[in-house]
Amino acid sequence: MNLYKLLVPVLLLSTLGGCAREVSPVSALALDKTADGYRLTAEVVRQDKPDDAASPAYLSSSGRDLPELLDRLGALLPGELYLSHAQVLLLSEQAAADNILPLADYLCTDQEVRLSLRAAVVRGSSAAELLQNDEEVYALSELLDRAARQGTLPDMPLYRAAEVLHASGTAILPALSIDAYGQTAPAGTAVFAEHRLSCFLDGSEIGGASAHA
Amino acid sequence: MEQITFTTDLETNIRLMQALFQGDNTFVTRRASGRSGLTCAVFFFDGMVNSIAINQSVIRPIVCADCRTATADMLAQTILQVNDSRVETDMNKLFASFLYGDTVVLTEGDARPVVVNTKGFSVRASAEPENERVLSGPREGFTECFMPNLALIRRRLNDRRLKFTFLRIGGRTNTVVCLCYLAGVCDTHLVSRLRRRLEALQVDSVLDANYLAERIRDHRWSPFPTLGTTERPDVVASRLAEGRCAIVTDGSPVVLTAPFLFQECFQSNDDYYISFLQANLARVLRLLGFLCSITFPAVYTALLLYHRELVPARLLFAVAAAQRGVPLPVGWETFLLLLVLEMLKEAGARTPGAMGQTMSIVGGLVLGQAAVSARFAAAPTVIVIAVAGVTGLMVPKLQTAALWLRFVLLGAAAAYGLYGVGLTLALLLLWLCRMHSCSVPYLLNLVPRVRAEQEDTWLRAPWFWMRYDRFAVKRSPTKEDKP
Repeated sequence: MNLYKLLVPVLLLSTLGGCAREVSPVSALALDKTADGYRLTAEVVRQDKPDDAASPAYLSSSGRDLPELLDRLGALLPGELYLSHAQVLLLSEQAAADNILPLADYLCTDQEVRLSLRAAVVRGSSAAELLQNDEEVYALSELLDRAARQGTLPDMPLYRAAEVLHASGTAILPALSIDAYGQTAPAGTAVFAEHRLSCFLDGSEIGGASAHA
Repeated sequence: MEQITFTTDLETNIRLMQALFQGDNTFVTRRASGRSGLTCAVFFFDGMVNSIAINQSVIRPIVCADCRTATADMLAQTILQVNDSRVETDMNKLFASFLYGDTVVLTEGDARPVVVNTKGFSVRASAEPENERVLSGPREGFTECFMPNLALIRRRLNDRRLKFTFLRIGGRTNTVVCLCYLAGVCDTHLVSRLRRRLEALQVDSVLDANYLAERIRDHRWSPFPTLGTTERPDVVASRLAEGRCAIVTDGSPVVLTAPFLFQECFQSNDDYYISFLQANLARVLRLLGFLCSITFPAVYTALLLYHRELVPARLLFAVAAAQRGVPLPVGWETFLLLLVLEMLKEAGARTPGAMGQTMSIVGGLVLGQAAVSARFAAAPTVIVIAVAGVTGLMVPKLQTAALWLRFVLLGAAAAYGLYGVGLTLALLLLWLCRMHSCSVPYLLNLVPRVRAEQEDTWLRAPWFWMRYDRFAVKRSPTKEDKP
């Protein structure tokens, strides 16, 4: 009987551990096509001290599909790969030329990924290069938000793009590029047909495209 | 008590009294003889009596008496010049009065003793209670002395319906306990219920009001108070006027009041002496402070363990950076810091005077900073615990409940996240709904809602809207009331 009485507080105290784990929050992802598959680059947020500013660190992994890429990327990180705070997924032109529906479905059904995750297609450079162009965490997502508010880029989160692709096979996504001054800039709209990148529309055509969307 | 019988022979009675109090050096026997032959013996306890009153009102009249003999009635009514003297034949009452500072006078030829009120022990002056200070308003507080406490109440309630009913409780201490109420305003069932509970007590000693409170209260295991406590006569007078009962215990400055409702935990004495606008804001802040105090550590733990996606990104990065290198999971870290907080509070409360303040400063600032620097704890966790500790002080009547609930909610948060916290809070609300104080629902005016009694509940109406007897809950007899 005394043993049972002793066990009760021990059991109660044992719950205090919860499911404690260290996490490595990811703020953005970039997917490039390589000769034998894909390369995924993650912008992982580093903050060594609470009073320091958060700064990005970049890690890459190669593989044949997204689950494999994420597994390999997770193995490189000190904590669990944490996608809840990821805001942007960049796709290179080559990666977007493949069927993006499995990728979109995988991310949209992941329990950690938020509905606010935006996808964009990178023009003229690799997705990893554009991802590393800004040294500030969330600079890309702020750029996409601002451009969507101003109407210069389509306001199309990944989940809506996936819905539209499922429905009709056609969708639009914002496009980004590195301009002549080395800055990340809006670069029109990427049009997807039959789940693959079909073409780009430049600035003058975007208004009409958005209106139709 | 063994049967004690006095005889008509004074010397025999003196020997009997000396035998009863043998070994007690404060027991004094004074033989007094009148100029015409009257012989009496005066018994009292040194230190408990007013010596001047004995000399002038007892000894001198006996010495100056012009009679050879006198009965006890003559002594009490004619010879002794005191305002309160009586012939007492009940030995229990006689010795209760005698041990409490009264003087016993025995005369030759009469077996009946005379009891004279000569109480004169030193008492502490009335001062403002440390725990119930007010910014403005009355500054008087109860003391450990019984009768002056009753006088403080009567001075504020000049109503002939004010009743003080005495009971004696405690086999060894024989403590006087007074049940106070306003007849006609207070529910008669409430009075009889409390009286029955007090009379049923079988205890050896009652040295403080809490000895009674823990025995007669409803829901004895609950950390929520179901009996009110105060050291202020204005508060007692106000509660009596509302139709409640008060219990004054000899030797304790704390007066119990019943029934006590949950909403009263958030009321302060200051609320009635300052602007109602300010008072209501303070009440809302106290309620928020209590909720914050019990839920803050639990919600913090749940968010970091299970619901990181709810934390804004930049806050999550800062917290994750602070947590890096801390050896314990956040649940254990919070639990241990809560324990340290309680230890520091206890050390500060037990350490005398200025040392206590130093202890708090050293504990709170230096230890906290050192723990963060040494990576024993994360800075956000220290902040959360400090906020919980400070907000917990806003509602002193619920400090015990807040202490226990913090740990219970923390356990629920660590085990089941925010779902656990929500479920525990729902169970807590159910429990509070089931509670009652002297048959009055503990959440009265919340559940059930009594429209007519909303003037001073969670908020206080301005005085020009307030009626006088705003509580006055009348209840039908409960099972306990039926014979």
